[in-house]
Amino acid sequence: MIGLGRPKVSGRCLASFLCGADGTTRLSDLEQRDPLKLLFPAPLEEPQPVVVLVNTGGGVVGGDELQTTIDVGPEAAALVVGQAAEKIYRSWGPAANVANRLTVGAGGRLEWFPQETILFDQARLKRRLTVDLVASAQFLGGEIVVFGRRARGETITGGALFDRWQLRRDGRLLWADALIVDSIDDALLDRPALFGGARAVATLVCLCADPAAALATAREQPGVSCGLVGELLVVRLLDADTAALRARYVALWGALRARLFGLPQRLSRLWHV
Amino acid sequence: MAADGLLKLLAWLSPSFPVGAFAYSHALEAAIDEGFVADRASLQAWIEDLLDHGSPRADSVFFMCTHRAVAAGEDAAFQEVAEWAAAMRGTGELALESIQQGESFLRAIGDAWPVEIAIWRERLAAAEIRPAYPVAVACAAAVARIDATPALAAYLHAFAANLVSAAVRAIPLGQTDGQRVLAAVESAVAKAVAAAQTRTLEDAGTAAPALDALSFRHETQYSRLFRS
Repeated sequence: MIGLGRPKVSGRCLASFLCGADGTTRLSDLEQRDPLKLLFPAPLEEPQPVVVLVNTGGGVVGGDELQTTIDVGPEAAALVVGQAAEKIYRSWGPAANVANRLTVGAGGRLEWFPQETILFDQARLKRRLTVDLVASAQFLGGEIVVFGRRARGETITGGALFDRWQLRRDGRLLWADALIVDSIDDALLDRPALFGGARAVATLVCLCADPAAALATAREQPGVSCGLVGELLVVRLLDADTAALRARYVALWGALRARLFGLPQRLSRLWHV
Repeated sequence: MAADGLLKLLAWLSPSFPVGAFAYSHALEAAIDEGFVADRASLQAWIEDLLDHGSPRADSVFFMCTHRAVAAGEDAAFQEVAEWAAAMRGTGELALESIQQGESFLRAIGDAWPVEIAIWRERLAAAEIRPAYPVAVACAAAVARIDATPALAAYLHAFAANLVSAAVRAIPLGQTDGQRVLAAVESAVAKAVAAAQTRTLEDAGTAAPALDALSFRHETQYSRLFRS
């Protein structure tokens, strides 16, 4: 199988954005170390820089260390998407470690939408997402985790996931979430109180200037379980079918960015649906 | 444990302690409404799964870490765990359930019991951190020199008993079946207490996104008896 036996890698990437005097956001700093790369397409319909996260290694194996840092300066705005689903291969040894650090300055805005992370049977992943905002910054982002290669009908017999989010505003912990599964299997995923039979799970959050509008927009979308935790909109999507979940996720994302930020609702060229 | 410790736990975690536990179902009301919990067997499995993987798993970590920090007089460690415990709430109703009970608990201890928690309440207030329920109970237990292990067992038992009580009212389920469930989940409580012994703050987490989704749906449920 791909990934087995390959030496572990230590990849890093960083992109910083600053807002110029003309109000346009520009890339101000860029670092990348294989296998992580950043691409900067410029779709006409997007009024902000778009960053595409690429893992040229074709997947993640146990022991890999991957760090991505996105820094959006005051009044700047950026959209980060993934080029493809991130595959986490089986590991009998250590977990893969992924750390994503996002910062947004005053009046800035960041959208964070990697594509789904697919945990193969017996995969072990430790991932940390840290979002540091200042008071007037806005953030819209999410992650999708898929258990097993569903198209192949893969059954899940083991593996482990540690997926922790922390959202800070002016240094204070605003919201934290940690999905910790010490031993993943299909029986656990089928428990109604735990995953309810889902094989794909998404968490999407939005911190914006108008939480009530964010909540109303999310509640208008079909099949969306959501609510405000303080000022933060939190959404959970669960589905047995990854494609169905992706469709709802993209529809929700599009509706939120259109309503809250006045951005284009359609994202089809960036995220195949 | 000294007898006075046992008596304090019995009082503090009894359904009559004024934290308003009866008003919360931890999304069980939504689970009943959607048909996931309908009888004795499904209720028992529901509670066991939550003890293993739901909020009680994270709260057990917060409980043990709080107890250690308070017993050792470590203010910075106490603040860190209190901040995480307040922030790690999957939904607005689950946050309300934990924070409101935590605040009511500390108020009742401060007003009525000879347990010197004032300095810890002041530290929380100064840091603008609201007390999650496990942080509140663990703090008082540590100040009263009650060991962490029996205190956590009492805390988790109270969580289970409160869900049984909610189910008896909401399903409805017979009192005898309710007691059968409570007796049956005893081993799951003991297992959760044992699992918490070696965990650190980093291990605080859950594996129950379906429960969070239910709790969100409870917010818009047509008819509700419970605040969560």
